[in-house]
Amino acid sequence: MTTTDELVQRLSDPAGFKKIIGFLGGKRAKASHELFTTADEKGVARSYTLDQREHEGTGYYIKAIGTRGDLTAEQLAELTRAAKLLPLGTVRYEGMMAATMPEPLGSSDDAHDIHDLSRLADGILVYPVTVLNKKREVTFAAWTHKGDEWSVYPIEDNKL
Amino acid sequence: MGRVSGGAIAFALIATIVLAALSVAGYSGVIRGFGPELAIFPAILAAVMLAGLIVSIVLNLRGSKGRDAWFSDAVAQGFAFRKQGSAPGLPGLLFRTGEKTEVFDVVDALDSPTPFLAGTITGTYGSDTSLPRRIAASFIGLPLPQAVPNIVLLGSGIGMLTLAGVAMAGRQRLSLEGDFDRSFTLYCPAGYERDALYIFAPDLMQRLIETTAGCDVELVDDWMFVYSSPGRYRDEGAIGRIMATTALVQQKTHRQTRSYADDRAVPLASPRIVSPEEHAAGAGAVGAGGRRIRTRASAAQRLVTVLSSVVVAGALAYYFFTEILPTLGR
Repeated sequence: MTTTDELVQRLSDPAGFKKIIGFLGGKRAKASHELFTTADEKGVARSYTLDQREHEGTGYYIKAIGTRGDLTAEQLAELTRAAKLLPLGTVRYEGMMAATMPEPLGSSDDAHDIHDLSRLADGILVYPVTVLNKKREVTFAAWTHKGDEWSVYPIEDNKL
Repeated sequence: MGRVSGGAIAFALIATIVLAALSVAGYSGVIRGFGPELAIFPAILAAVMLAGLIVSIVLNLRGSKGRDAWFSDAVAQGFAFRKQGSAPGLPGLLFRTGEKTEVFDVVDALDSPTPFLAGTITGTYGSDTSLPRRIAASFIGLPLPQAVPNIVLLGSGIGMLTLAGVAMAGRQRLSLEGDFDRSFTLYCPAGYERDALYIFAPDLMQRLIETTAGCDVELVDDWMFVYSSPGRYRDEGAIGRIMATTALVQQKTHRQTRSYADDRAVPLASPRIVSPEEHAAGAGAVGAGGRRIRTRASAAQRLVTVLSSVVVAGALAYYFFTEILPTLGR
């Protein structure tokens, strides 16, 4: 079973990001690797699924990670409630358009409602994930913190 | 009744004019073969459509007035307001069972001391059955301090859940004491009867009778939903009434649900910290058997299914016996 430490090690190598982003995302992989290796804080965390939607066969998740360890039941209850209040249209749009590493969390002008649920002061990042194959899991996410900016990249299990 | 769209009104208006013109033409003998004896039919249709048009316009105007009051009350209270949008992913039956669900005139007071979310939801329900229908319903969502088993209270008469084709298996029905059974029929997942009795203490039952009689009520996850016919809250002072009701119900539901614990739930390793795996397994909340009530097709849906099956079987039998079977004997 893959551990978060193993994944951090893998992502410290440029090939690690190439593998999770795919061969078409060479530039993004390079920039993400550069950010990951120069960030003030970084890591890989197991994600919580706050909410899950489905629309015409496509799966949409609202996920959260705790960069300082596991979350409390209260935090999860509050985040889950907030996630469930989001309209499907927002979840679908932001599932496609929200910023991912190397872009900072919330930096997409018209697709940041889900990122806005993050509690950055507590190191909690909330982000959308879209999966065309509903059976595909997205267990982990890589994250960085550099200056005032946070970044996240969801890692599909089939890319592990 | 839901709002009639401008497009539908324009279409009905044009159709009325065309029918009226046809009728006038018939009476004046302009069209050969279409005399006064036939002109009565478009005249009747035009009259019916005109009556429908007038009713729709009056309802729309009244609804618009109510919406304005609803909107200005919400703004005056400092609540967020959303006119229209796709429905949120809330766990209530009308949110989770519908297709193409949309919400209208939503007041979000979740950050207030008496938190609630209220508005109108429309959606297509029972689309996987023989009797799909599009309905609109008013809803109020009250957050609870913690997750509880899925309990549904169907109000007396035909409520919004019944109209949406939601029906519960009879063995999930639980009879409660006093006058409660006259106002509501309570359904809870099998094995959760004692939990329902714990939550529905006599004073909470009394409060629900006083405040939500005639509505359908659902407890699910950490929410309580009240569903009623659309437009129920579209008048001046509706927001104030919802706030008062919320405060009354909140006091009782919070007391009864705060200390609720399901000993069938997966226990947490630590009382506060939850791992992603524990969260995925729904640990520390309600056992898997209690999270969702079992629904089934309504009597009307089953009747339509049976009738359509009989019609299809009859048609097939007719075809085979009259067309094919005689040829076998030749």
